Amino acid sequence: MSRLNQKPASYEGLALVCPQSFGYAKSSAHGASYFIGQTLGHMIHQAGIDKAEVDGLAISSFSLGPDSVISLCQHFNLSPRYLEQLPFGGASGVIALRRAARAVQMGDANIVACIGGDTNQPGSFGDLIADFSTFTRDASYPYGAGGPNAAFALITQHYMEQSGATREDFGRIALAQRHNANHYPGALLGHKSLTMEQYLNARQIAGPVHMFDCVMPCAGGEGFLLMSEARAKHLKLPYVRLLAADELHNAHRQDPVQFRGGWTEYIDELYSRADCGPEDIDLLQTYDDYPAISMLQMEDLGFCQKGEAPDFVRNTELTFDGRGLPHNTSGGQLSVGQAGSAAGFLGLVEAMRQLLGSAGNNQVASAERALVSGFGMINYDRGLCSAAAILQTGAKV
Amino acid sequence: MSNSTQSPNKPPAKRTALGENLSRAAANAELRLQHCQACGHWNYPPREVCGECLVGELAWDICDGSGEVLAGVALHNSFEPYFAEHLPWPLVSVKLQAGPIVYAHGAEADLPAGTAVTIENRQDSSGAGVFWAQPLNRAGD
Repeated sequence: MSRLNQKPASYEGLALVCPQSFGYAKSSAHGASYFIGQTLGHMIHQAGIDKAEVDGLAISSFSLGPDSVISLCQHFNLSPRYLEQLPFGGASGVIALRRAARAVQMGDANIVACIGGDTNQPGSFGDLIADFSTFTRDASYPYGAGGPNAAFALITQHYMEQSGATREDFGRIALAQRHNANHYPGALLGHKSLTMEQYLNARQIAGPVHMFDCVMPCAGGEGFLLMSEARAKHLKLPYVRLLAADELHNAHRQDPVQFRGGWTEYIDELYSRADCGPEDIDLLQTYDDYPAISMLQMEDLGFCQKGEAPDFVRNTELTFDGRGLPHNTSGGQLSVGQAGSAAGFLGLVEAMRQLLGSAGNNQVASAERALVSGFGMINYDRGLCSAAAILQTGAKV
Repeated sequence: MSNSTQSPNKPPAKRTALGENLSRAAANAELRLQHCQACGHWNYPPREVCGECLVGELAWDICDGSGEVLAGVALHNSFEPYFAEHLPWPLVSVKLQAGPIVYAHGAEADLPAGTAVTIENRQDSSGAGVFWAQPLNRAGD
């Protein structure tokens, strides 16, 4: 069989351009298409192209219904020849990138707009979690386990018992991200400081999970354009290269409680395809819906051994300016806010700004290579999606 | 803890059509799960085909409720009014010896990982079936 299995083709010749984060707000009366459409509008403006040149849309949104990506063609008066909708929550950004990359490489589209956008209206988060999946409806929601808090509390409790992680260890991640958010104007909690004392004394939510371990649902949009490197050069746009990317879903399904993600199954190959190792990564963006989940990613992405992330965060400066391993450099969802599916693009878009040197006050010094990971979809007792991408500066401004 | 309230709020009763089978079994205090007639695999949460062999013949058979707590927490927050009135609420995940992993209400406040339990399927005040994890030394009281 192995001779029938091809190696994944290279991602060479592609350019990620025009990172955009738009309109973060705690709540909004607008619909999701407002955030998706405005994000698209800003990207087109930034690229200096005509709207009609965007011939592909890769969209992720929880709150777009009853509309879908095809509806958006009429909303935005577009006639694309490539459409993709990605219901993968926290993994949707990297997966959108992977799908769009192949479409552009194969010539199915020239410019694909990859966008995650969601609104947050009163009650909408409650509606989403009450009916997230058939499994949650029958097997978790009736137990008071509405939404991800309870599932992640069980995973976090298990992780603490297995690894010896303490709440202070989780706090180190949350505090470093708040410091980063204090330097990123788009962060909804960026105007507030966070001390370890505040973190430890926060309101208890579920088991070991307390207030500052939880993300704040909000509205917003995140996106970027994917095109060929030749086109980016022609348009004189600064761009980022995709060195390697992969995904795996519902991996390790025999693990009774989630203790690792699918990254473990491809991370060595991912570094090999990118011709680098974890020591060559200048900044890391993990999907931080609860600090314990970021720790799983630090381990599974090779920054430390399994179960050793507590030690790692005790000994590694995670702030953007700490010259350790800059992590979730805009503050992550914990401090920026979780704008539905846009949260699955947040780390990717922020990594692009860092690699382009356009991050602003939270710019990491000499950032050339970034690892972005995505994690998503608590269909019942665990997150099913794992995705990761390694990006490198192509051409700066 | 489960039925002492005067509040009109009741536990969430919404289930899928398949999930209603759990409530019917709870009326007889029976733990019935989907048992594959082709390969013998026990399936949970409810689904249309066997998760192992993808055959559609799944019988709601009585399943042994013996299991072990994987993780236990107390919920201190819930979006559902019924639970919000009864916090903290003990929640456990349990690995049944038969195979499936189930969430269950904890019959006691503190049921740490490794506790041997029996899963019982009972009607709640909404008439829906929910699982309760009883520590083994207390089961059948």
